[in-house]
Amino acid sequence: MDDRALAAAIVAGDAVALRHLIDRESGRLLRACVRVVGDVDAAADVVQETFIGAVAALPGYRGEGDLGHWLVRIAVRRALRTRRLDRGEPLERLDVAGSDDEPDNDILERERDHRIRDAVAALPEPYREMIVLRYFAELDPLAIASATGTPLETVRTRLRRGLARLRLELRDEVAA
Amino acid sequence: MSRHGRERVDALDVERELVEYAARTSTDAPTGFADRLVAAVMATETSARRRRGLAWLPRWLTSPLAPVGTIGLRFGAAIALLLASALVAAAAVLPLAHRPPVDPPSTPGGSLPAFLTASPTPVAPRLDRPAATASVHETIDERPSASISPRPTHAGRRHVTDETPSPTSHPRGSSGDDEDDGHEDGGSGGSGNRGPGASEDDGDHGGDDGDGPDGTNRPSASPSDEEGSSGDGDEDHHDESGDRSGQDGR
Repeated sequence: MDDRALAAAIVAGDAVALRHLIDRESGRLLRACVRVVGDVDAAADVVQETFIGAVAALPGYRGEGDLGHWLVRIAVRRALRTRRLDRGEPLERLDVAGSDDEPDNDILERERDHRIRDAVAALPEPYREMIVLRYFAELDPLAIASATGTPLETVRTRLRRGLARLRLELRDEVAA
Repeated sequence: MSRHGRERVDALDVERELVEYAARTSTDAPTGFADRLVAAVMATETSARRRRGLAWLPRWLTSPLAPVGTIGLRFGAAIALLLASALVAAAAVLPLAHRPPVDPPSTPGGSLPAFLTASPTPVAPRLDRPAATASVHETIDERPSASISPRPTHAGRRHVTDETPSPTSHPRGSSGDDEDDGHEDGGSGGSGNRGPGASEDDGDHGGDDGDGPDGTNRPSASPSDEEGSSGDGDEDHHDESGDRSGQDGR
């Protein structure tokens, strides 16, 4: 079943089609959201909101582009918004402080992951979305170009500049 | 090395960091996660459809997702749905439309209600009292002088009306009902004819005349339709209908 027919079936209220879409896309969406927000439960909530919002907006889907890419883009945006709202709460730091019996390398790894998430979230648009779609959602530049409606060369340029900015961010954090 | 080349070398390290981060945080969905998503989406969509009612219909009809071959089927289903809705609405209104017809009160003959036609007791004493009948004639004899006299000016008529307010005269808005005008004109005509010595019966006669000598009430032919909806026009109409009913009474 192609994406257009799948979306039409879901709009018509077909629960089997909805189940098929969720089985196909929920794993990828959850992984991307976990990498953005850093917490599985919060990411699961974001994925659920994404599916609810996407199904409500499905009648407007015209079958142009991959349905999975469309969903990933919605999920990533929601995750970034959630990340921005929760920025004042150092959840990961609290987790690290509470786990005394963990080995030191795990703690350092968590610290590094936290730093990467913060640095990506601090990127300005459109670099942030490009980086997240490319490295957190694991879309190739062609898929990003299709999902965002951006020319492929523009995607590549933004990715390159985004990585450069990210490097500056991480270096500043380490220096600090 | 150019600036662009240095940018690429710097970016490569970060890229490796990001790839390693993605590998570390790669996680599987928790057990029952898909079931939870399906349940949440279905519950939300069902309640949303219930809230929206038929608002989804045009969107569904014009949805670009469905194959073209089903457009006719969809339109047929939509028309059937609308017809069913219209039938339900008609069934709700129909009992009101099938009320038994009510005879008009001014119809001559025996179609009047019994309590109106069977009134012999007031008639008999009236025959015994010539004075009352004479007062009626007096009132009628006085009418020509009133009608021959030059028509009062608009302001004058308004003044007269203001001095002798009829119980039926009332200020009206701009959206007066024509049928109400017809009935009230008859009543006010009777009160307009009522002279100083007039009895209560005179007023009743005037009111009946206002409905029309042939027993047909024609509110659409009353002047109030042509006078518009202003309050001045209504006041004029009270006086004129009173004159007309008086002449009819004669």
